[in-house]
Amino acid sequence: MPLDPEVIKSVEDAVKKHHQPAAVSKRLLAWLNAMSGSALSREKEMDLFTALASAIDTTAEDV
Amino acid sequence: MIIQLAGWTSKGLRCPDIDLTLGNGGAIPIVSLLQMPNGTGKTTTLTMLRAAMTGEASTWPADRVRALRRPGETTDQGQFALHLAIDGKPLTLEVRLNFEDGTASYRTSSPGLGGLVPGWKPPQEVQRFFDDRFVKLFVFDGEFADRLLQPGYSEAGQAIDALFQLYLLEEVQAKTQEIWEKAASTKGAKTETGLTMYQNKASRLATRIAKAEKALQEATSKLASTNAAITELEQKIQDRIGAQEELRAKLDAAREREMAAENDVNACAATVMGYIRQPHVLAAGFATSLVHMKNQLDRLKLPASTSSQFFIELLQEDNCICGRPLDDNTRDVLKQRAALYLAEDTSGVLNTLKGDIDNNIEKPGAATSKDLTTSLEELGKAVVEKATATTAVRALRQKLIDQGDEELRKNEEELNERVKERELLTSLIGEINRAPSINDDENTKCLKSLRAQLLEVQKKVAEITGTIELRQKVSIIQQILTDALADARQRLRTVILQEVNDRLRKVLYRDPLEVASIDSCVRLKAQEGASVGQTLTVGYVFLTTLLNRGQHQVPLVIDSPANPLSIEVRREVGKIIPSLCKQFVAFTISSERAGFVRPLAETANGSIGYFTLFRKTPGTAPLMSSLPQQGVTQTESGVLVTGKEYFEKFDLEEEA
Repeated sequence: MPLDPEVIKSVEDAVKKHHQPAAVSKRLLAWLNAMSGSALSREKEMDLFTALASAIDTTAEDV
Repeated sequence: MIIQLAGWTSKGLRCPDIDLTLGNGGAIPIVSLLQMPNGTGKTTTLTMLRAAMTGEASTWPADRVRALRRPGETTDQGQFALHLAIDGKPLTLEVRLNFEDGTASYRTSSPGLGGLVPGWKPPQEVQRFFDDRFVKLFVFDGEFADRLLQPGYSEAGQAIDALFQLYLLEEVQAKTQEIWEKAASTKGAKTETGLTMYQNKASRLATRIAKAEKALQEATSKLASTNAAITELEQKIQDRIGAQEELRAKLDAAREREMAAENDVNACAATVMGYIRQPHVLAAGFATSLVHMKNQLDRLKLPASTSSQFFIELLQEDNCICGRPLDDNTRDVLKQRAALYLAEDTSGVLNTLKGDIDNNIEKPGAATSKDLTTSLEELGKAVVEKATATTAVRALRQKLIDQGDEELRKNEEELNERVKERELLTSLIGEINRAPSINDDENTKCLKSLRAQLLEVQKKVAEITGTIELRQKVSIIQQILTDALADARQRLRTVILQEVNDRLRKVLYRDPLEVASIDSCVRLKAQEGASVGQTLTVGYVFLTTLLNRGQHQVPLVIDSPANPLSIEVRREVGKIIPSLCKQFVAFTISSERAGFVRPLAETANGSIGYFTLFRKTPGTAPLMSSLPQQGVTQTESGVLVTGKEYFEKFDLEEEA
């Protein structure tokens, strides 16, 4: 079940505020959507986290 | 996901035994009206509906289970089976109550489970919608709708969080934390003791933060209701003592003096604090010593030249400044040690120090300890003045109360209590929200300090375990989620406020009411002027707006939806409800039909089911002879009649 457009916009804006690449919002939203649809297995959660963490830029301005 | 209520079966409970199917030939109507006279077991049915959905009955205490047994009966078992359709697929959740043991158990049936299995086992993708927070939004009573508008409650904020799945943002935050903690706990065996210590500290701080956040939320909510109560009480007191003009005028004047005195105290205190922060003003000895030090520096011509120049020149002399002759060895030692004395930065500090002593102590007009003494005296006078003014206000107020009545006295006492409560709450909120101090430890209530401490401890754990990069990434993800959550709440509240007000203009067009803001609760403009029916309407409009905008399709189940509404408002609410939700199930009494049912049926385009259920008692015995030929189901304890004609004509004197 999809997230509300206002929630999606908030996630995208927060990602931009922290100077993170667009891939971060896509992967974060993918995780949220997956959780919204069903209960996730530990493996699936780890996969989603790994994908998200690999997109995070720790050298961004406010880090 | 589409969740529909298909019907239910109950046996051996306080409500009549019944097997109700809402669907007519399979299709579940948009509107189902279940007419049940008072005392037929509406509350029991709603309780069991919620219990079946949430799985909560297995935690009920024995007396709560036994309270659901039909009075006067000795059956040792009761059961309630809720039939749902999840995206069109059947799901049955059955609650079995054992009145002897006082226990409850569940059975679940769905195609995915391969039939009937023990336990409360709805499919995982459905379970989150059967969370207690969510269920109470769509299976609710008038009390809940009322709480949406009460400042002391946070139902409205929670409803938005639940329906727009904002809890997912918090859940992802928690997951990332869990993943990092797990990564950190599997590393760093070399320094196990230190690691355990920091991990324990992190855990304690996290608990403390959660407590502080909860306390802040509760105190803020409570403060809002306390402030509202204070305003109301003050107004009541003003109204009651309004007639005594002379005393009132005196009281007003005394209050003004009190406020002016309070302002003076604040101004004097600020001046004193400003002086106290300057050491040379705090004690004359400081000023004298500082000036003496500056004079000594001047006498030594320090720092006229940089230290390196001083030593270069010294090395060229035959004798040292102490008078001893300088040879090559002594010069070498001096050269090596020169760097230790009066480096460039020390010279800079000395110059700044001298400048500050000049400007703040020696300059004409600079503050002195005498100024502090004078300010302290003025503060003392202001405090006395304030105390006198407060006493005068209290005395006049008491006089007014003494001339008033018992109710006025009670109001005054309650006001005093509330004011004390406000002070405590304000102080607590201030303490939780204040800036961190270096004296804070992990027992502080200061949230900023606790968060900073936790960050430090987490950094330490990350350093020890070699998970620094992971910690940084988790920290960034968590900050993004925190910001996104706050922003999403704000956006949704703004959008919903707009939509609710648009709908209210249509529903309450005769007597418009406007929502001023939505935070933890729904706040009306001029709330005190709203009637019970109006506030209930606002509650419905708020919830149906959420359900309509949210991404789920869930049934809206309401007990006595129209009872407190005027005929005009019933018509408008009746018209709007079917368009705001996909399934509406209402438990009604016969007196609610007027004005409500027809518009409801018209908007539902005929997709409406009518059911009348009553208990078999001596009081309802006369009804048995007038039952229709078709659509009647009888059990030992009750009668269920399906159909519009009987529904519309059914009446009991007690409800008229």
